[in-house]
Amino acid sequence: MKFLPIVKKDLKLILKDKAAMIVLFLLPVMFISVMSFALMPVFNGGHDPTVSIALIDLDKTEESKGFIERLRDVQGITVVTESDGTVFKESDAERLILGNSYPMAVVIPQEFGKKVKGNEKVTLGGFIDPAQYNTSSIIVKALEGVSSTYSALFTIENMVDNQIAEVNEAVNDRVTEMSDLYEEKIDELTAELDKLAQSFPGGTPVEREPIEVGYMGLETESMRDTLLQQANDSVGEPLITVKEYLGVSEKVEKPDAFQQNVPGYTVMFVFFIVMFAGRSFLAERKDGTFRRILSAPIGKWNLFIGKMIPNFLISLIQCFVMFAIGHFLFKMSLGNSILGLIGISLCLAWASTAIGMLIASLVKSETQIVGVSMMIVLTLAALGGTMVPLFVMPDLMQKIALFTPHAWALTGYQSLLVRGMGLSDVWLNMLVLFLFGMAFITVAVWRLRFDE
Amino acid sequence: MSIIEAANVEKRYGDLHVIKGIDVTIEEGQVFGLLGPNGAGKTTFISMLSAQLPITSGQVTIDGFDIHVSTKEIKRRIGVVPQDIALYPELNAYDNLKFFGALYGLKRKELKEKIDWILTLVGLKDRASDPVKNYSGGMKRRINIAAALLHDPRIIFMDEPTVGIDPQSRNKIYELIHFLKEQKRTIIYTTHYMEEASNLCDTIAILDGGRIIEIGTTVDLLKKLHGGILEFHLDQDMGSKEIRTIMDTHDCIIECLQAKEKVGFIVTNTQEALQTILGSLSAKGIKVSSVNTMPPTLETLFLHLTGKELRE
Repeated sequence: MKFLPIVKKDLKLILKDKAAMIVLFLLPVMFISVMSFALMPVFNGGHDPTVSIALIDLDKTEESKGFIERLRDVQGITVVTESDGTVFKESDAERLILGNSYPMAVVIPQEFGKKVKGNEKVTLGGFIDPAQYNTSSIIVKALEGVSSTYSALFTIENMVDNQIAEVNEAVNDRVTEMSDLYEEKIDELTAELDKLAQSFPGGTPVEREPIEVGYMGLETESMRDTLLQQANDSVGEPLITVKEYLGVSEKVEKPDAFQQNVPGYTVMFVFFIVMFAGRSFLAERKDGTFRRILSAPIGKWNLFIGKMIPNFLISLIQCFVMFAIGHFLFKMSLGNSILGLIGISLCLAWASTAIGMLIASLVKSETQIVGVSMMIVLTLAALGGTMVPLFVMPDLMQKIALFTPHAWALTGYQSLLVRGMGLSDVWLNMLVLFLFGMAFITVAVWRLRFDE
Repeated sequence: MSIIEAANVEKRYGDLHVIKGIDVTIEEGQVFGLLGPNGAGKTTFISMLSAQLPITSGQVTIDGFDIHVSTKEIKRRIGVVPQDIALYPELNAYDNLKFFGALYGLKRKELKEKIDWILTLVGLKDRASDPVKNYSGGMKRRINIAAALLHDPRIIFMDEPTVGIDPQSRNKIYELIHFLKEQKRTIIYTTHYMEEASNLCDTIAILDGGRIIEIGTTVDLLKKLHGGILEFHLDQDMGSKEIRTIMDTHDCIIECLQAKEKVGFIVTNTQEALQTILGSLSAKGIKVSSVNTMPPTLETLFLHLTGKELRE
């Protein structure tokens, strides 16, 4: 335990370093707070999550009104057709968009109903705010969905009418054919009976009574209503539906903004220890304190371990503080496995400490520390999904993320916090983080010089 | 009794031969001065003696321990005062001393007592809780020395411990060295200040180009200069034959040092020799533009031995 004085000294030094405390503790807390509150509506934390669109109805028919009603049924979209009692006009569209009031304005053109009923193509006008393109593109998809469903109803109605007409015609033809056949047979029978009657003396001719056909045609109205009802029901309530399940555990709750941001920013800022590790090594080399320490009966391994442990402890404290603030201050759920959180945190602290030692072994000047450590830390953080969620990245970027310890730590935390997994489910994340640390430490040991 | 013995010690960095076979024996309780110009190898040599730097070849024994096999034993017995202020500026003096004391295994009560003792000794007990960054240069130097003495080492290496400090702090350090000397501690001391070396050191070794070019007690070394050196700046080069003639005709000249248009003489008495030599030079038609009289001091010996001034 000859490294213990070095550990105590380094902890004392870093705790006295106000800049380090701000970067390692205050900054992540600020980021977590600001980003979580800012993104709370996205995570449905009690705010209205719907997007409002302006709708201008130039047709004003039953069909256009029906379309608007269908659009209103779409979850997440609020359809606004008027403001302060004044119905929107076509000329308002651009103003409504540029005024940042709506991400999109939709115009239902004249003759909308007529064309829909006539199975003709009809195009809705859409004005989009370029600044809210992502939101607008989602609305366009919703519009396309509603349009295809709505137009399908009219297509089905026409199909039903056509089908019934064809059935009616076919039945009428058959009935007429049967009637003609029976007429012919009756005429034949009548002729034979007449012939037989006249063969007898005094026989009177047989005359046929006219037959009245009782068929009045099919009852198509009720048939049409039934078919249309079934078609509407089929469109409105499809046989195949999707049910959303969150995570794998029954205890799992919906993730909140803090469950997303606390692990993200914890992972990102835990790696900022790299900068302070590098700076500490540089100062010790420059001031000659490494040489002085090594003039005492302390081996290089003790010095190495003594310099490493404080960074490990600070990283662990960072994890503890961030999760404690998330839980106690912001009421963030810690998932179902505290042991899992401890396991991931230990491996994360190990990986960040190891990369800190690696940077310390490579840098030769203050400029290099700031440049190299910031480049590595921020690049890995961006690639690892702590800034931009991994799921929005392209496949290639998601694969690249696997080469960063950040991604493994982050997915490990999210598996525990958001997906309700346990310690045994995140063993691979822990193992990969540990191996990252081993690789970094190996290079650090190879490269490190205490007396340069 | 010798406490440090170095035999044929060499240090190489690739093709660079920094220390070229040094033999030295240092007696216990001595203050051993190492003098030499910048780049002479002083710091490298004491770094090797204090087991901070591996020796390329040669043998070193410190307090009976072979430096190749008993590094930790040796490190327990020595204290190193580095040339730089090797302290943590953000920590106060007490915490700095606590850290360096703990490295030697000092704990709790013993460590606290030692810290109080050394702070009193260097006169900084009332400033113990101030961060070192707020200290003057002299105060930092004193704490720099104090940190090397906490574990009561038998041998103390001091690499230019009084560089760039105020007279008050320098006197404090001199007092401290005298105190350590009284305590029979062995001190290996490098300095640029010749006066300091002659006042403090029992034995002095002069290093140049990685070799000890002169070693002895201060008195013995100064005797080599006799009455001092007279240096004449001439208007023309002087032939060796003419120099030989002058030397042979004047008993007051012990040795001649010649370099181009300068010629120096180690003489028995500078006042007497000045008149005589000037007369001889004048008689030979050699014009003298200036004369430099150098008293028999370590400064003069240093310049004489390293030849820096005369070689220019």
